[in-house]
Amino acid sequence: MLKYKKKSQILVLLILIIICGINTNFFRNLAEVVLYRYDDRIINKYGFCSGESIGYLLYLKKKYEIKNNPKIVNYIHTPQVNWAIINTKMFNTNQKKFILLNYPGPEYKIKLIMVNNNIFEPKDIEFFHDKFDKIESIEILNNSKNSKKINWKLNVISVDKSGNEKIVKVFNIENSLDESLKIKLDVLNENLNLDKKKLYFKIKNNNTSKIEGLQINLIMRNKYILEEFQIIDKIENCYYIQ
Amino acid sequence: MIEFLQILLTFILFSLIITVPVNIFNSKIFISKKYFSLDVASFNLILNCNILLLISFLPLSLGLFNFFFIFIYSAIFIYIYLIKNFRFNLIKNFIQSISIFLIIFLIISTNVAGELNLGWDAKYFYYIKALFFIENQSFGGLNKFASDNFHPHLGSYFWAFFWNLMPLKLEYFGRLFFVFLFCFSIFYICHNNLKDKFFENTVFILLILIMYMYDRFSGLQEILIFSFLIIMSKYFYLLKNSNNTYYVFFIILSCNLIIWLKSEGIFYSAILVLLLNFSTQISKKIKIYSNLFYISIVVFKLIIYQYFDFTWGQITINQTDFSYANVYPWHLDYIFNLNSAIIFHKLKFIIPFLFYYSIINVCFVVGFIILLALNFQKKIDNYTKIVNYYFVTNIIFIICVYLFADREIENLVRTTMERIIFTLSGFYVFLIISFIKRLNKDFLK
Repeated sequence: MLKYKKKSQILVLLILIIICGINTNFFRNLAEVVLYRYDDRIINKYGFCSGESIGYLLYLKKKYEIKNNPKIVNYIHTPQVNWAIINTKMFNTNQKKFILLNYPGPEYKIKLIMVNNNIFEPKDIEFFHDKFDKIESIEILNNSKNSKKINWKLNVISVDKSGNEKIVKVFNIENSLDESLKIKLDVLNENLNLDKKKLYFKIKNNNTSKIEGLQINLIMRNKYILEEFQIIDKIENCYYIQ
Repeated sequence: MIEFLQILLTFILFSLIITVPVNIFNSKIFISKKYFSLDVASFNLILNCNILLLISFLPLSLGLFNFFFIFIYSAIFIYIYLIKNFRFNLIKNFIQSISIFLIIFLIISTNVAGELNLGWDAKYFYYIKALFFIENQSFGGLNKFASDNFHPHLGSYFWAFFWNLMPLKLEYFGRLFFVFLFCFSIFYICHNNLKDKFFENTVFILLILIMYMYDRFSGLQEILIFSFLIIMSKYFYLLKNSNNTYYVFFIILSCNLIIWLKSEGIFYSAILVLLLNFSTQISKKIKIYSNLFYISIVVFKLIIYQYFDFTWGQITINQTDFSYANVYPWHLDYIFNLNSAIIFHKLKFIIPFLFYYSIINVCFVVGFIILLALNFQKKIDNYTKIVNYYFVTNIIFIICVYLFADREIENLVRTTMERIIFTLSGFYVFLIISFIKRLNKDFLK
C-alpha cells in the first residue's frame, strides 16, 4: 500500500513537471539550445537586417573589430540597439562612422494621424525627429474614385511642454485632387526643436469635401544621404558608413 | 549540448552560494537553536550576496574575483562537507531532496537560454552596467554612465559575475542566477526542512507554474527584489521563535541588498524596517539595534555615492536618443507645489490602474483575499498583523510614488505600476503558502 502511494506520488510530480515543461516550451527550447549556436539564436530572435538587426551589428563588430561606438540609426522603431556592440570603455567618443539599419532611402513617408477634427500629428515623430533634414512635402491620397477640390489653410504648429503654440509655417493649398497630390513644404528640421516640442498640422478646410476620406503623409528628406558618405559595408538595407 | 551541460554547471556553482560558508546540516550556531537546513541555506545566500556587494566596490577585475570565488568556495565546501563532517547519507538525502528544485531550475533555465530577448530597461541600463564589469571596469567607472545612481548596480553585478564565471561566457548565464534565486526562494518557503515531502514539492511546482514568466528574467531587476521579499516574508513569520535575533539580522542584510538593486529599494526596505518596529515579537533592544543597523547601511550607500562622485549624468551614451538630464522625477519643489486639482487629476489614473494591476497579479489578489479572510478570524496572529501593516504601507507607498512624480501620469502608471505591484507582491507568497499548508493540515485531520 505504502509502495503504491509512493509510486502514485512520483507519478503526480512527474505529470506536474511535464506540464511545467510544456508551459515553458522546454522541449522546443532544449532542441534550439542543443542544435543551434548562441549567435544563430540571437540572429533568429532579433533579426539580421530586420527589426532590431542585432545580427548585422554583431557581424560588423566581428568583421571590423569595432571598438569605438559608432552612431547607430535604426529606421524601425525598436528599443535602443547599441547594447549589442557597445564598448563601455569609450563612452562619448565623437565618431565619424555610422551604422544605418533598415535604411529606407533618401526619402521616407510618415503618416499623419488625426488627433482632433482638424488637427493632425505625424506618427512616431519623437522617434524620427533626429532622422530627417526637412519635411519636403505633404502627400494627399484620395481613397475614393471621385476627384475632389482642395482648399485648405495648413498651419504647421509646434507646441512646447507648457502648451505654448508657435506657428512655424502657413500654407494655402488650393488644388484639385484626383488620386494623389503632392505639395512642397520645405520645413527644415532645425526650425522645429522636436526634441523639446511636439509637431502638429492644423488644417482649416474651406471646402465642403471632407478630410476624413483622405490619407495624408509627410515626405521627409533623410538626414543620411548615402551619396554623401563612403559605404564601408552593406547588406540588404543595413549600411556601415563614414 | 555544451551549453546545456554548462547550465547544469551553473546549478552546481550557484549551489555553493547556499551551502557555503556555513554548514547547512551541522552548524553549531544554528542547529543548536533549531534552525533548519534551508534556513541556514537562505542565510548563506543573503550573506554571500552581501559579500558580492562589498567586492563590487573594489577596483579589481571580475576575472580575479571569479577565480577566488571558485577556489575559495570550493575549498570551503570540500572542507566542511567532505573532510570535516563527511556523512554520505546526509549528502545523498540532500541531493535527493533538491532534485525537484534542480529539475525546475533546468526547465526554466532552458527557457531563458532559448528566449534570450532582453527587456527594455535591461537594454538601456542593466545590460550595459553588467558589461562595464565584464570589460574589467570597476564600480567607480560607472559614473561615466548617465543614470548611474538612478539605477543601482548590484543586479548588474550579479549578472556580470556569473556571466564571467562560466567557461562559455554567454550573457544569459548571469541571468540564470536570477532564476536560481527565484526558484530557491519559493523552494525555501514551501519546505520546512529538507525532507522529501510530496505535498510541499507539489505546491512548489504549482507555484512556479503560476508565477513563471520569461519577461521577469529578461534582465530586469524586479525578480531579485521579489525573491528576497519572499524569503523575508518567511523570516517575519519565524520571528515568533524565541531565537529570532538571526532573522532580524538577516532581514536587515536583505534590506541592504534591496537598497542596491533598485532606486526605490530604499522605500521597500524602509517599509520592512518599519514592520520590524511594529512587531511585538522582538525586544525593544533588538529594535533599536536593527534601526541603527539599517541607518548605517543607508549612510554607507550615501558615503559610497559621495566617494565615487556619482552625480546626475550629464554624459549620455552617444548613440542614445535620450538625454538623461532630469531623469529623476521626484523633486521637493514639485511636491510642495501640488494642488488639489493636480492631485485629483493624478488619482483619476492612479486608483483605477492600481485596482487593475492588483487584480491581474495572482499573488497580490490571492494574498489580499487570504489576508481579508484572516482578519475576520477571532484571533489575529502577529504575522497577519505584520502583513496587514505591509499591505497598508504598500498602498500608501504606491499612491505617493505616482502622486509626487513630476511626469506625465498616464504614461508613467501604464509603464511602471505593473512591475511595482509585482515586486511588492513577493511578500504575500508566504502568506498564501502558509494558508494552503494550514488548509492541508485541517483536511488531513
